[in-house]
Amino acid sequence: MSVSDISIIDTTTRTDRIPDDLEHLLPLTPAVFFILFALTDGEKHGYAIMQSASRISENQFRMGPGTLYTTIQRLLDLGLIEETESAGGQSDHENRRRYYKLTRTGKAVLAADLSRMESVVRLARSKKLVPKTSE
Amino acid sequence: MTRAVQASCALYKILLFTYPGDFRLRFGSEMVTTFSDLISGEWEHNGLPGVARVWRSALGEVFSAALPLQLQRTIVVASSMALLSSFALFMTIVYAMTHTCSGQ
Repeated sequence: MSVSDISIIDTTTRTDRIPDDLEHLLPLTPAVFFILFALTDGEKHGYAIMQSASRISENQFRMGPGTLYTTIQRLLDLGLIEETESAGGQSDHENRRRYYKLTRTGKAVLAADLSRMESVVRLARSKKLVPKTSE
Repeated sequence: MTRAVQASCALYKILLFTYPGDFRLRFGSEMVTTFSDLISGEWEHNGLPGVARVWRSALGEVFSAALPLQLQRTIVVASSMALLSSFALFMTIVYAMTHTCSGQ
């Protein structure tokens, strides 16, 4: 198996099709990847997304509000996430929050990137670059 | 909310002016809310070093997030102006040539 096989494996094992105009997003940037991943649990507001991204990455990836919201704006424009009806709250602080959720396209893009990563890990295992797991 | 957190949020509101106006209008209050949550959490769990880390990240984002957004806007505006000026120049030339020809 060679490095050039990655794209073939990637194409054949991918279960979700993503629109052609979104193919250029792959591989996803860390900010996009962790935001989409954080939203797989359900709708979240900005701070919850940041906490979730930090937890998923085992504190390896941290972003501030600037990176978070510029990425959110991009994802909203691309239709990968959408704003939901605010869950609301009693305080002004809670009312200022907006909640976001993954769209079907967002899920497909995340699945495509995970599939790509899986292919790379499989290739790395075949080259004994990473230890094989028991599964 | 402690005074340190309140002061930080007030300063962060000023820092938001480095972001483009339309972006600030859309996400500004939400960013302040998130920043306030972030800094309150750090103050509670990690004290001053935590607050300093949040500020370092926020200042870094002026260059990594705000500046690229501003440049993007500048490029779009500059391209539109260039296109408009070219069109105006083209129309002037056409107009001048038409009038010169009809004069002869």
